[in-house]
Amino acid sequence: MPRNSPTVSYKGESGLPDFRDPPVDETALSIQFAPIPGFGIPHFGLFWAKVRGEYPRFEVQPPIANFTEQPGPVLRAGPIVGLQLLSLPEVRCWFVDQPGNRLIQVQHDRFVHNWRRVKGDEEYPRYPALRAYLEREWGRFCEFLASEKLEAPKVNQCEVLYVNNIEYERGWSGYGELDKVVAAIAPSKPREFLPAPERVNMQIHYRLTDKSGRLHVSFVPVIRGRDGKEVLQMTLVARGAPKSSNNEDVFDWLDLGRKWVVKGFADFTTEEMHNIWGRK
Amino acid sequence: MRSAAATNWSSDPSWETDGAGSAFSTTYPSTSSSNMVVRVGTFNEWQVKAIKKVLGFRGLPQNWDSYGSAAITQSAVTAAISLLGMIPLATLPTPRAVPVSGGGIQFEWAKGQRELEVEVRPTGAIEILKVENGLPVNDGEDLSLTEAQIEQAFSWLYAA
Repeated sequence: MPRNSPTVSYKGESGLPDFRDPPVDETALSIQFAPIPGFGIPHFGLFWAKVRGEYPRFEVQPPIANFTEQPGPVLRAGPIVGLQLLSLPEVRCWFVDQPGNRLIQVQHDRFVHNWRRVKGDEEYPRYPALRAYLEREWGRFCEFLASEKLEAPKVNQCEVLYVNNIEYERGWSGYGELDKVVAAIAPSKPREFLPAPERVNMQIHYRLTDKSGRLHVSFVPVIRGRDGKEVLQMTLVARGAPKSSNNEDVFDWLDLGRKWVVKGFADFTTEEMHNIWGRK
Repeated sequence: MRSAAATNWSSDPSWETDGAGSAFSTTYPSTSSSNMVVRVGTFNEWQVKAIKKVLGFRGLPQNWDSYGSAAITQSAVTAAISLLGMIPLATLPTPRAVPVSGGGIQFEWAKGQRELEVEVRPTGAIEILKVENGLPVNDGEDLSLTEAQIEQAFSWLYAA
């Protein structure tokens, strides 16, 4: 938990579903902004120097496209089309803490804080702690930009991502019993002809009620690299635009996005699974 | 489209609509970063079994063969899984999969009198050897991860 307490007010967890043993495997809180003029390759290294004490490892990844939820009826999160200067650094740097559980991702138009299970037995640190980490690291990044005489980020999207691993043999044993996991697909009548499904992929999208973004829910069978187990990966991503670039509005949107993720997760999954995950 | 998930979302969940509400796949970026996961939604059972074997090789330590071999490289694992995912045949048997000294992986499929030996090198490069009636048919060819080359190699095996 970062030493500095959050400076951007957090309205708290009141009324949100809470689980003792949630199946969350990873979370990512992401702030996207217009490319910063003058931000170049050397700045990745200069910023790493500021945070290296806590994030001693780095990895270089290809960048993620700049994506914005479109307001119209087409459910397409599209790239912002426009001319891009060739001088924009097409890299994404991960700065990773020693255990590997937390990392900061930096690219010329995005800043992300991730928490993830690595060994598999880590306790999920909960949103308030992760929000505080993001607030602190985002603050350090903005201070760094100012010290380099670069303009403050013009934030255009925020994203909250939760990846959950729903393991077989914990309340269900195969895709023929998916209705024991996913409340939305409880069968209204028994199957007459079809056998149990071999595998299932699902993608569902919701518009946030205040039209400030969308919630995307997907179910995908995956094999988990750390233990070779096949699990059903349920991913919830809330994405949308804050009212402004100021920290209050950015973190307000992240709190809203996270509320949709948590309430959406609870709505989507069954009471039987909630009991297994220890809903409070 | 890439994901910010630290999980290797090499093919991220995605969608777009045609305006009529039906969904078909495209990609959106994820910010996830977690350890490797392999999407198996459309894979056959033999592919899933083979992928699990390959992932198991990641745990082999340095000197796993007691002759000083390097651990199996991530490049070999990634290339092996990519290859397995691209093989178009639903009814292949699960291949014999073994780690190879130096950090690579080898697969062997057999059908009738034909065998296909596929070696994934530590660099991720792939070589195939066709064997018929116990004798090699070629000298070992490099295999690119393209649909055409993979289909051609496995069609030869399947034609046995």
